[in-house]
Amino acid sequence: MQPHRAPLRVIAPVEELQTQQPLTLDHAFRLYSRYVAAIAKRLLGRDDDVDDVVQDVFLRAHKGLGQLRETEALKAWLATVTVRVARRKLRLRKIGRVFGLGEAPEYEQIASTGATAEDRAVLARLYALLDTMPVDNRIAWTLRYIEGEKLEEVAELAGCSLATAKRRIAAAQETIDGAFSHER
Amino acid sequence: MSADLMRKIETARAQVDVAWTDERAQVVGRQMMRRKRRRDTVRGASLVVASLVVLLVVGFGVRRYMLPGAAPNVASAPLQTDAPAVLKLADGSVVTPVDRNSLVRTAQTSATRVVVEVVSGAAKFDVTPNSGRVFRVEAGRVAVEVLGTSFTVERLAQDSAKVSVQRGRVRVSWDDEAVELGAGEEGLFPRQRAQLPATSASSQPVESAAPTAPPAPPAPPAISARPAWRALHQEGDFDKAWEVLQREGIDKVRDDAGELLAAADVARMSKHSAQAVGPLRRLLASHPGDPRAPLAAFTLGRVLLDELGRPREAADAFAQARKGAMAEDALAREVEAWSRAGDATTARARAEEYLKLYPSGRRERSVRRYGGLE
Repeated sequence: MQPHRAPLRVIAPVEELQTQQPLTLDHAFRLYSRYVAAIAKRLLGRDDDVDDVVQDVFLRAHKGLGQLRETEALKAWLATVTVRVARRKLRLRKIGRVFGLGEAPEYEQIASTGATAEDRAVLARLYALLDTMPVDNRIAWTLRYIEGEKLEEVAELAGCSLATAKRRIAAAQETIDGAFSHER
Repeated sequence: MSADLMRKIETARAQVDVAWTDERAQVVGRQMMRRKRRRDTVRGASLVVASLVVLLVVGFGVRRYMLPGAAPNVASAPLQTDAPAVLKLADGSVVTPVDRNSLVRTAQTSATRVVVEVVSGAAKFDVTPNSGRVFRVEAGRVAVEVLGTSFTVERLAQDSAKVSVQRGRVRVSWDDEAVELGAGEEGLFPRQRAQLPATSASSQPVESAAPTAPPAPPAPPAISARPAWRALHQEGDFDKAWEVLQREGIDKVRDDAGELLAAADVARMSKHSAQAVGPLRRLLASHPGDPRAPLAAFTLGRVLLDELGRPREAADAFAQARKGAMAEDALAREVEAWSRAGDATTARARAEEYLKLYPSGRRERSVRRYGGLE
């Protein structure tokens, strides 16, 4: 399956091009909060954690804003931070479930309101399966097939080697193939 | 991965989108800035304490250093800024964001091509006529190309956009479709394929059109083919959609499964859950074989159980949802509904059925709890 999202072309806003001023936190937030929220939603599969993740990402990221002058670099960096924050959230969620602190969520609401019933059902089943996997495998697979990143980018975002990224994706895929073929 | 599974995931993943409205961004942004101020205050206070300790140890006069310089650094840029400035481009074109939540940026500027992206909100464009230069506005999947005109582009949810033309002509394109709009026309894009006026789709590159071409025969308005509330529903503006739907009468919604499901969504998302019951019941009665029927039944069960406190009716609804991918969740919720209805016997029977069908099911814990099997 090929990645479906063409990389968004991002060039500095006019005022930045003119002055080359470092980005402030609120400006970066206005530019990229939607982008971060979208990645968080796809990684976590739940809307109720998205706001927290977006805040965490920008608060973690703001220290380095002064050193960045290219918005493209900022966007890539925010994606990396989002993956880290989401990974932590997913691990906490897993630990919580082990200790009986959280029930498995229902994912039938994950799809946008215009989605067909079949899409909703596929997504609900898919995210329920992702919940059963090791977090690193889940993240690698989601980045590859839901987020639509190239393998090299998956490795970079997940902070692992290309070989490890491929191995994680393959392991996750095996689980998904098994579950869906069982249902057919 | 099999081709069929690939296709399913390929199609479904495009539907994972976050409802990130400007209002939500504002709320989250304000919370974030509060957290940052708290964090800065704590850090500032820590710095003060550390400074005091050092100063005491080295025996300097402490008081002198405790006063203004030791104050915590709480200064931070407010999220809310003043109204965004008008963007004046080198060729004299003017871009005016309609409010301070609207954000635009140039993605490309050259003598032959200018590309401006509407990141959020809406902006009005007054474009200086120039036949040698393409002026393109991008808003999600929708792109508008012009030569000399005045128009407004509003970015909406799910990469869609509303385009209104005040003067001249524009060419609106999305995916592999395109349509031209003249002065006084407006539309929501991407359009449904069936709504495209055949005569207005243009294969002519915009560069070759006259800068101030006369308006073409008016295209049918894009919004009129569907009820107004459906357009608002698609934009994610559920409160306004509810107002319109209520005026038109929710019981007058067309007897179509998609329409009924959408009407129920509008009611639920605008916090009128009780009014969602009607369309969902109509869908189940009129279209029991529709592939969306289990989803409607599950949604009905959730509304009745979680929001209206009618567990017995909810149990019946969940029972109807026990088909397809949601079967496991529906049975688990049915156990819960019977338990809440006070029918321990049926709850237990359904719980045993669940454990038999899904021996290591995801909802085993709650099923055992509500089924009295712990």
